[in-house]
Amino acid sequence: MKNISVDIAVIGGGPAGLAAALEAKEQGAGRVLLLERDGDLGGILQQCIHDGFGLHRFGARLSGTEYAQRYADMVRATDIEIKLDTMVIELTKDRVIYAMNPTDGMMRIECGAVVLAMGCRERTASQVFLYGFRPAGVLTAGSVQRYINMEGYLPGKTAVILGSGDIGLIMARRMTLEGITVKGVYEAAPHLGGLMRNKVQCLDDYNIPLHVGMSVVRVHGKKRVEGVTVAKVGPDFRAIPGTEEFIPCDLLVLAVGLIPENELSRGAQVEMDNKTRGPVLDNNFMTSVPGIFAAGNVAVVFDLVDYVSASGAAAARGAVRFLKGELGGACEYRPVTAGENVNFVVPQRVRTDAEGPTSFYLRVRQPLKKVRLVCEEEGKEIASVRATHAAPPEMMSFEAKLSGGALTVSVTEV
Amino acid sequence: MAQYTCIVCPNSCLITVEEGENGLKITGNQCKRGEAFAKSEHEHPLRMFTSTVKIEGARLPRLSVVTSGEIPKEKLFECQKALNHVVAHAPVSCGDVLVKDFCHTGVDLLASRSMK
Amino acid sequence: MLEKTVNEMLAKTFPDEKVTATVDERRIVHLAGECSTYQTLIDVGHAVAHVEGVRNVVSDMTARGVVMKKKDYTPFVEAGEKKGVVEECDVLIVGAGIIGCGIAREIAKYNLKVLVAEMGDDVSTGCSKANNGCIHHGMAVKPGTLKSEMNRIGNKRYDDWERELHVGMIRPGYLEVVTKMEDLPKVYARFELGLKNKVPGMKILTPEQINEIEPAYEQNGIHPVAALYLPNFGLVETPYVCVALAENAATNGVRFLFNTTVGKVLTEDHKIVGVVTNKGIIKCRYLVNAAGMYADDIAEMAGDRLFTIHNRRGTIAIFDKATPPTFHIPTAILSGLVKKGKNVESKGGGMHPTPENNLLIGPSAEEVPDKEDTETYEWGVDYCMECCFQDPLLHKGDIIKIFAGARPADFMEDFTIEMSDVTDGLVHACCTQSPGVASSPGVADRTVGIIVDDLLKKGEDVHVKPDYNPYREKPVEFRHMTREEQDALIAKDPRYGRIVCRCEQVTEGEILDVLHSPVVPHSITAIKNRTRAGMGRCQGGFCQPRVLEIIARELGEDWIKVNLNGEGSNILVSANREEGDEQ
Repeated sequence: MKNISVDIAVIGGGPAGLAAALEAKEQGAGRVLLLERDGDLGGILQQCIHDGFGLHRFGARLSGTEYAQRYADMVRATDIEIKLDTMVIELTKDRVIYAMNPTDGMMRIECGAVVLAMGCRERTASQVFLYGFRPAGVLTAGSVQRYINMEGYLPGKTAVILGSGDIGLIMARRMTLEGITVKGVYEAAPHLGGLMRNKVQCLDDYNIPLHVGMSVVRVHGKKRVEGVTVAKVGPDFRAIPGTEEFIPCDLLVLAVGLIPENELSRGAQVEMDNKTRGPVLDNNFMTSVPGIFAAGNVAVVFDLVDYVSASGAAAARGAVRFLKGELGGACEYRPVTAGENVNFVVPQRVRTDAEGPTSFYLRVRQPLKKVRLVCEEEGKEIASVRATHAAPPEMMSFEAKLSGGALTVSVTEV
Repeated sequence: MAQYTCIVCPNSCLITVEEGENGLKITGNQCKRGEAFAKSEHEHPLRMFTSTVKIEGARLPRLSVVTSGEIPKEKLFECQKALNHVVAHAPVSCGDVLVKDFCHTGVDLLASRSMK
Repeated sequence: MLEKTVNEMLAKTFPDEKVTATVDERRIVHLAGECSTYQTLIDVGHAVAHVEGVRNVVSDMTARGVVMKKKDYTPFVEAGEKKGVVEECDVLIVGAGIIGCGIAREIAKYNLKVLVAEMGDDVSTGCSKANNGCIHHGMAVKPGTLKSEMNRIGNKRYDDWERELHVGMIRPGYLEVVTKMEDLPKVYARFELGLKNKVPGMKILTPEQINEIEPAYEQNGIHPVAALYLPNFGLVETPYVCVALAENAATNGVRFLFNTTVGKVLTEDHKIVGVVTNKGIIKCRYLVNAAGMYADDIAEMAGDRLFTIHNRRGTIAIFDKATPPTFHIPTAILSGLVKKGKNVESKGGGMHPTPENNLLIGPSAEEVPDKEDTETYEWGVDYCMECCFQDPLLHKGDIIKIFAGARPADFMEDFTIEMSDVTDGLVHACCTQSPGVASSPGVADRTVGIIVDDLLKKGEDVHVKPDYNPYREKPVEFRHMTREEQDALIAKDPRYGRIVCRCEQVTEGEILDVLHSPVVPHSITAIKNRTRAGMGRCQGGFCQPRVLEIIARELGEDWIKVNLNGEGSNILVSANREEGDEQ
């Protein structure tokens, strides 16, 4: 078995991992190894051919593929080692990675620090308790996107989409352009799941109806989908009797949420946050296991790739500090509390020796208008942001200069 | 009077356009780009166009493409249809022009990723 | 006389139902008429079956407002008759579930030409596809039944199947626990029932002994006062057992004809001479009826209407491996256990590990009129959750897969394994609902014995083939190897170096192995049943396109022809715009 020793290993070559590897290199890390299970860099962005990426990071409206390409090209211009087609199958709490590919075989990689950037996976039909038969033609939006955009095949002729998050909206447009009739987008919540601008350019432009407060409650068809039953749902997301309607279709696209992919993290005994379903992070994006950092959708599901990249870079800066011994020894933490209207904040805690600017990411609990975000450290306001609105699908971000105290973040209408 | 939801950035401003004697009166936008969007949306809506074309000799069978600028909204399907005649050949670099003046829109069709 | 008794019982027990019974010389009761509900229809059938002297029950009953579907075999027969005779064999087995595959494997040792006709596209696509894989201890069955005997023999014979075929069985044993002293008699009663069923190795354990083999009770605040320990209880993945059996049968010369539906049975002088399938006419001397849910149709086609099969559906849920089973030893807590809506004929499941240590809960037991109804409903899952004695560690949110399967039950609720007494050469191996999986080796042995004895009686030379190979090599299971072993394997063959299914750590090499195995899988599900690719928490979200690509590549098939599970279940419907395509 090959034994390898690196300063920083980054698990995952998507936007978080690319940004982390690049930043680690720029911060002067020695041997940086990027491990990617696919045959190319870019992660899920490889199948995100639509535009709207990179407004913050590059000041341009790029397609997902272009955004990934820019980062991949920057990474390839450095001496960062890239291992493609490489699956990490185990991470220990002592920062030993077991990874494998056809040419290297099984590798044992000892790492000075590790950045977790494995991204997320999609919720499946059983996970949203979709009852009925289990025929072909029920696919997650990501699978449909891969089949259409990367493999060049269509999985249906007439589709119903469950879930109005951005992925569902984007796929409605994409399928329509490729000749699939999209009967409608159904959203169990009483409001749109994604961004309004995506509803405008993905649904309204193509006259695709959006049905909020409605869900797909049954799947019909033994071999292939023959249709779905949709119904109005109450606050408990259960069908309201008498509102059921049968919609014939041969494809049900599920855009019903993403789950951070933390199996490796759990194996390394990283403490998890039930809210974000990602690791509990500190202001250096370090997990509860010293030297293991996390960024991007493995930490918390982001909405903008720009934030994903930023978190990757932040985790890499933390990893480099760890290598330098700046984060060693015993330390204490102070909590970052989700205050009024706030569902969660990442990072979830700060070190008492924290100092300097740190970025935080949060989601609100419900839609709000004309808001003010306030971050208090031990009761003292250290950051505030104003915005015209806040909504659960849109992550909010702010930067605060820390001095090691407990934080509370709240968002209120003003 | 007409209202448009701006698609330039995630703020999704609801912009009102009124036709007055002194031209268009645009309100509700938070930035200059929003004003430009509303004017364009009112007079002649434009959209970015992204899709895929066949590629030969590459790792994958499809290459993602993007137009170098926005195209008239009503030409989206025509452009999509025109892609059926486009075949790229690897290697391709991100930004390579695949078709000049794509469908007489005045913008080019570009590869939106590199592929070997 | 019997007819009178049955009708009197019906009039007394079901005064409002318009049902009449006729009884033939074989003491088979034929029921006709309309019942008020489907459940009443089932109750009527069971009540008649309980009348002393009744051999079996055939039903033409209907239920008010319920569509009682009958499969139309006409198109299959028309297609087959056009094709004429395509195959000839000694023994044709109908059905490649665990019963059919077991028989195929056991009969393959003889100098006979054997074919298996299966309507699905792979082994294990019917009742065997979706169940909890229990190798029942055999304690709880009704003593004196054929089920009891088959369960006892089958359970023991799984050791042979495991040793020779690597069917993937584990024997964790089973514990029936009481937590109150006043429930002690329950343990003794179960022990005595076990004695009647000749269950080997049973023990009544003290709290100390229980804690030693299963510390999880005390850890979870359950304080057993005694338990019945049934060490012979085992677990399998039923579809995988079918694969192992079929592969070994194929190695020994049995051929499997998939997508082949028997639509008509050909007889001459009340003797089997062949069948008409959609793929053509197959001539044979023996017809083994292992058709599971459709065994009654096959029996009727062969002129031996002996029983009626009804579908007792079972809903099952599988949990993420991150939520491992609380108890290593499958457990029933007898104290205070009340199951709502419990079906008296099928125990229904509880919670136990699968051989790969996923937690499985269920199955439920729901009588449904449609034989192919494997739909899931919320209440099915809720029933399964209720079976878990409110384990606080269990959350519905950790479920990764909900599915439902079918039990092929007759009204006698016992197996039928016999040579037909009206059609020579027709051998029934059916009505094998629970504990069918556990019993399958016993059913196979008995069925093969019937055929071999009959051949010997007819003076034929039937003997074990000199080149018979009882062994199936253990396939590569990358996930169970040490890192060193994995490294060495990749060095030897780099195809094992590419993980295709991340959740279950299945390599491309393993998928290629099964694609070049004796029983070639064609669908995504067939690959899943052999390798576990797609069985994990993402349910194929990651690996399905990759598996599809490998199937298409290796079998030379178009992507849009690759099915999820069987004909007509293609995942993709068309290629994207081709060059020059005008849409």
